[in-house]
Amino acid sequence: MKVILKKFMLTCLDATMFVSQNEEGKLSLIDRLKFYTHLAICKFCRLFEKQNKFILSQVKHIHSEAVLSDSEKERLQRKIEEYSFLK
Amino acid sequence: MSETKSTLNPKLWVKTFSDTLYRFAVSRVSNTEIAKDLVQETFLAALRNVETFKGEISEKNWLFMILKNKIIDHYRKKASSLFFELNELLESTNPYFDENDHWTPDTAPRDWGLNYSSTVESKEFYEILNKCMDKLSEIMKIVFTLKYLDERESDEICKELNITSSNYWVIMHRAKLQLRGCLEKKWI
Repeated sequence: MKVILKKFMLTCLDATMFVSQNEEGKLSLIDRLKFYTHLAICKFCRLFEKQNKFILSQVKHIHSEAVLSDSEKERLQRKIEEYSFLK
Repeated sequence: MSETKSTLNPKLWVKTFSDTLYRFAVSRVSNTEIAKDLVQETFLAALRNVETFKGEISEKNWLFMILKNKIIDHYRKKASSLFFELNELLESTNPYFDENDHWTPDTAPRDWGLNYSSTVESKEFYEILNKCMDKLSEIMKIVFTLKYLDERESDEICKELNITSSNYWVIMHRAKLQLRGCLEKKWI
C-alpha cells in the first residue's frame, strides 16, 4: 500500500512543473489526478499555483513607456526617404 | 466589412508607428540598441516588400507582422548561441528544492496576503516585475516572453527555437520559480 501511495504522490518539484503543463492542458488524466491530490495536501505548491496565475495575468499588463528620441526619428525618416528616393 | 483596402504611406511611418513598434520591441528584447535596430530593419524590410502588400490588413498590423518576424529571427540567432546556457540549466540541480524534491525553508512560497485573482495596478509593482523579468537568463526570458507576452503555443516555440519539449518545460519551470521568488523578495 505504501508503495502504491508513494507512486501516486508527486514531489513538489514535479507538482510545480505540472503547473505549466496543466495550464496548457498537457497532463494526462492520471497526472491531473496526481497534481490535484498534491495541491490538496501541499500549501506551498497551492500558493505557487495561485501566485503563478497572478503573475501571468499581471504580465499581460506590462507596457513600456519608452520612446525614440527626436534624433533617432530623424535618422529613421532620412533612411526611409533615401530609400524611396533611390527607387 | 468595409471594402476599402488599406494603403501604405511610408513617409508617415516614423511619425505614426515608430514609438509603438519600438516599445513592442523593447519589451521583447530588453535592449534598447537592439530594439532600435529591429525597428529600422522593419521599416527597410517593409520598403523592400511594398509590392507584396495587398491591403487586406492595416498598415499598422502589416508593420507589426514584419517586426514580429524580425524578433523571432533575433531569438533564433540568439538561441543557437544559448546552447551553453541551456546545458548548464539542464545539468544543474534545481536550487529551489531539497534532495527529496521538496521546497526548502528558504524557497517555500509565503502567502503574499492579497487576492490572487485581482490585479495590482501600482507602478511600483510593474517596475519590480520588469526588473525580475530582466534577471531571467536569456533563454528563460525568450521562452517566457514568447509564451506569455506573445501568447504562442509551446509546440510552436519549441520549433522556432529548435528545443525539445522536455527542455521547454524545464526552462519554463525555472523561469517561473525564479520570477516568483524574485517578486516575493523585492515586492512583498
